[in-house]
Amino acid sequence: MALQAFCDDLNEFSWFITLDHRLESAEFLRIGRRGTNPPVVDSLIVYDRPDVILVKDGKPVVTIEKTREVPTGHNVGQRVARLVRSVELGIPTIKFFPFDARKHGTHSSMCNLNARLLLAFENMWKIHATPMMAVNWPSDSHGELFEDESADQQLQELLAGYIRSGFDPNCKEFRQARVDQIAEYSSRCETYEAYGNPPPSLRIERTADVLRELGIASNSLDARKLLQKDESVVYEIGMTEEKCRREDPYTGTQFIYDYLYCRNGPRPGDKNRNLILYFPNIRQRVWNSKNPDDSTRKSSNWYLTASAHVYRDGWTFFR
Amino acid sequence: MREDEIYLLTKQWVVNQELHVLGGQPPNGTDRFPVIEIKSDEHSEKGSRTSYKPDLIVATSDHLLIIECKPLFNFEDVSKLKEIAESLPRLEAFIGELRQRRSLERRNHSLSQLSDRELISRTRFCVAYSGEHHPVPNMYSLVFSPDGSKYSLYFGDSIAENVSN
Repeated sequence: MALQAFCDDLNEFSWFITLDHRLESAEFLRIGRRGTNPPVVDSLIVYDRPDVILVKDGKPVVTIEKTREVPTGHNVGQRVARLVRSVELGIPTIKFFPFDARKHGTHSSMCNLNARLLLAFENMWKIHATPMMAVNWPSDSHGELFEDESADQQLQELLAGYIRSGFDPNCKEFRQARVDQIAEYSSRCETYEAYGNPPPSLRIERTADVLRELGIASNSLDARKLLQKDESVVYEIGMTEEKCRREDPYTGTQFIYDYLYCRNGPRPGDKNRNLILYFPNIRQRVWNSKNPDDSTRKSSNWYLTASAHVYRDGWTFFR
Repeated sequence: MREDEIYLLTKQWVVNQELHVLGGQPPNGTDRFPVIEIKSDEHSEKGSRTSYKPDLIVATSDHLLIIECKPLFNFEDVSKLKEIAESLPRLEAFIGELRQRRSLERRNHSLSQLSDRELISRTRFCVAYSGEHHPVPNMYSLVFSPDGSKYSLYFGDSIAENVSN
């Protein structure tokens, strides 16, 4: 079998091939600019670039994202868009990160994973019938991440099983990872009940009420399309006009909320609730100039899944 | 050579010398060890634009070594390291970061027994690159051949000690 590992960086590649002896023969290829990679890779990086894409005989078989950051607070959605793209294409996807670790700095403290991410991953798995796994990078009792080989042990076991099965996405190791992921979510919700509910930046209301509150006339054709769904999820994003030319972490977070509270099918339009991104501090003209829906720019990620954007002085319907 | 290649060669050199990597930041992506941020004198907040994240931080038997990696000799790296070396608050911030992470203690490294002041006095600096050697006073230079197969470690004028585990 011919294995190729597309990575941004030689360091990432040198880590990846130590995860299993059968990966040692993989050829290192850099992920290039869009349009310069094989079509299967180009298609995978349209939202953003993952750390590792393993290709077997010309077909991607796993995507891995690795980070030392605990997805918590404001940053929970960071890196999620690239993972969503991978499961949309039916490629098993792994995010390797610490569930609990110490944050350093003046106010050093333990950070714990926002457990909603685990449920979002489970929903992505269900909807796309493709493994979407969170794998823990363990830490010691002081919250410092493991730095030796033991850090990768769980990931190694997962990959070993997958490779041994001939890259079967339904292999027993992945099935077990799914069970563990759901159990982890439940256990964390028991400890911190708030993770069983939507976060403060989000509200779920009747669509008619939402339109009224946001000052949208309900008799327009687009408003009537929104009204076809009884409920809407409003994700309020408090960016200012001066600082609105950005994507992270919001465009990843929109996917988390989409899969948690809206999505019921693989296409962005498959929703049982509308997903409305609400920008109360930004005028529509300013938004459009700074974040155009231009496929050559990452700002196009703002338009991937929302039903509508509502600005301070107007709104746009998408789906 | 590219920056990630020099980074990897340098890391390999560190491993071959049986030294301990305490922290650092690869040019892209993530490594096993922590990113250590040395904040500037004026800006103590995390993520400040003027804070500095060394490529590699290494403990030898007697010293701490801050290493910057670049494909070719880069004078900006020298200036950056010099700025840290000449700033007591930044050196204190550096040692403070290591203490907070228990970087030496967790390895049972003998340097962990030293006072902060002593650790500051034992902090050394190194630039790693490929190509021709450019002598830099007060710093080590780790210079790789263009194909990466050979290296030479040069001592700056005022450095007497070798790097050892």
